[in-house]
Amino acid sequence: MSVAVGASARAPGRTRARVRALRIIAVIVVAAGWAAASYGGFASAVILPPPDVVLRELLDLLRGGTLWQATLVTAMELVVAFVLAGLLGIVAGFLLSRTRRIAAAMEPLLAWGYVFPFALLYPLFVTWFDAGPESKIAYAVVNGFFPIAFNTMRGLSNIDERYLKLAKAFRASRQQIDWHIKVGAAWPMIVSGLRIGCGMVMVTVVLGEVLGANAGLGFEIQQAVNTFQIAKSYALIAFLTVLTGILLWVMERAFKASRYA
Amino acid sequence: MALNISDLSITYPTKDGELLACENISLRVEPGEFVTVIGPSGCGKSTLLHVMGGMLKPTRGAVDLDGVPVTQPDPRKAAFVFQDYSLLPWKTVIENVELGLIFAGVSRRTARQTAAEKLATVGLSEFAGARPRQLSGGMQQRVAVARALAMEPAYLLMDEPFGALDEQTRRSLGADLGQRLTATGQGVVLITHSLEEAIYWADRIVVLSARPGRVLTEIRVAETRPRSLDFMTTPEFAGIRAELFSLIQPSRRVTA
Repeated sequence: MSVAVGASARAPGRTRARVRALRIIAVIVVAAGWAAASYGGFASAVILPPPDVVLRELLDLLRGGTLWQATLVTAMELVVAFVLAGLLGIVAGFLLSRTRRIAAAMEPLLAWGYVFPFALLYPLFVTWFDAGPESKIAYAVVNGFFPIAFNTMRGLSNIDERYLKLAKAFRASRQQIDWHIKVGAAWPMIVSGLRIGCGMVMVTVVLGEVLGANAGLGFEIQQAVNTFQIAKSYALIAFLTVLTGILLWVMERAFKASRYA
Repeated sequence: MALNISDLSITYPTKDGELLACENISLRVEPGEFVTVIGPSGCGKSTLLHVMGGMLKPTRGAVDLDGVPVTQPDPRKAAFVFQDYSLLPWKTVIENVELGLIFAGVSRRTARQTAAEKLATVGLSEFAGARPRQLSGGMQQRVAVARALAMEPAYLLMDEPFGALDEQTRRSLGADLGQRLTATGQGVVLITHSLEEAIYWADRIVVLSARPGRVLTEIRVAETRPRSLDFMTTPEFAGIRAELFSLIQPSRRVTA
């Protein structure tokens, strides 16, 4: 997604329009395939309910109160988890980057934490923090932390020698080097860590809710599937898709505004 | 403030043992003087400049400014202009220019004011809010010069400042900056491997030998500054150029 946005932002107007048209066509093709499969009788309504049924379910959900309550829970978990993962990741990345040797020692460990399937440990999180929002937040923080800490540390410990030479020649103090040189030079890396961390947090919060929770959108989906309300689960998924799309868009805007290009 | 270099030698540790970069260099730069240092590549001229500015410690000998030893960089006395500009891409032009002042703890307002003045000195006032990457190489180097000037140093230490520029830009920028710096009475030590640049800028040219760099000779350029580009077409210029050419031709040693 970020690649497509970057490429289209640089491209001239005509290419941008084409890229956008292609994106819309892709969505239409998928929707048309869905409609053809369910109305054409290729897929059973249990596996793939027809679009109009799902739409009706969605409208019902939007009118009711449960959806919004669940959304509030999920959104709260997302925001809290992302803020915590961001703060912890940046602080840890900064502290670890202070000593070259520590940075070298920790880099593979952070990279490993980056790819470790924490989903395996989710039952433990539920044991530690109960089935409420705390366990989702803790689980998402752990997942979001690693890419943020890793990227922050790498960015801060791989500063272009020219900038450090400049800092020496113009007598910057250690704090001034941190603030005026390192933060600026590492900023693109830090932002990319936050972007990946944000995606991780979104996925893991909802995954946590599906795996074991008592509230939230993931929990609602799980409930709908368990009670065989397939159309409702599709409606919930559609709603979640739009919600994460909006969140991603907001994040991209925020990151773009902070870029110095 | 006079810059003194006495009996300087610099060795580098390499994997094949010690490498002698410069040997027994003594030099004195007077206030407001333009001195250029020229020599074949690898003669340690850039190393010499770094020692002058306190960025490197000499192995033997010493550098002082009016008797005060230079042991660490002090941009208030001698400020660097690097070949690669080293502007910070995430800061605006004026933020780059005021950087040294901010490091020195000057108030933001005073720093901004001084930076704006120096930006005007190099003729780039209208680009204060631009990002470095929006400027051409020559303009970026002007910004780096303004950043050094903002420290109001006794000397500018310029390390092949125009080396990355094309011939045309190099000449016109050199002429323009040379004139502007002359007008402000700035002292300059300029490292170059360009014969033209060495002559055009200099009150005095210091010619170094191939490694280990030693002072082969010093040549005075009598023409008063500021000079116009026409100076490059005079017999005086041609004479010095021929002399320099024969001094630093590497083939000279082979055939000798």
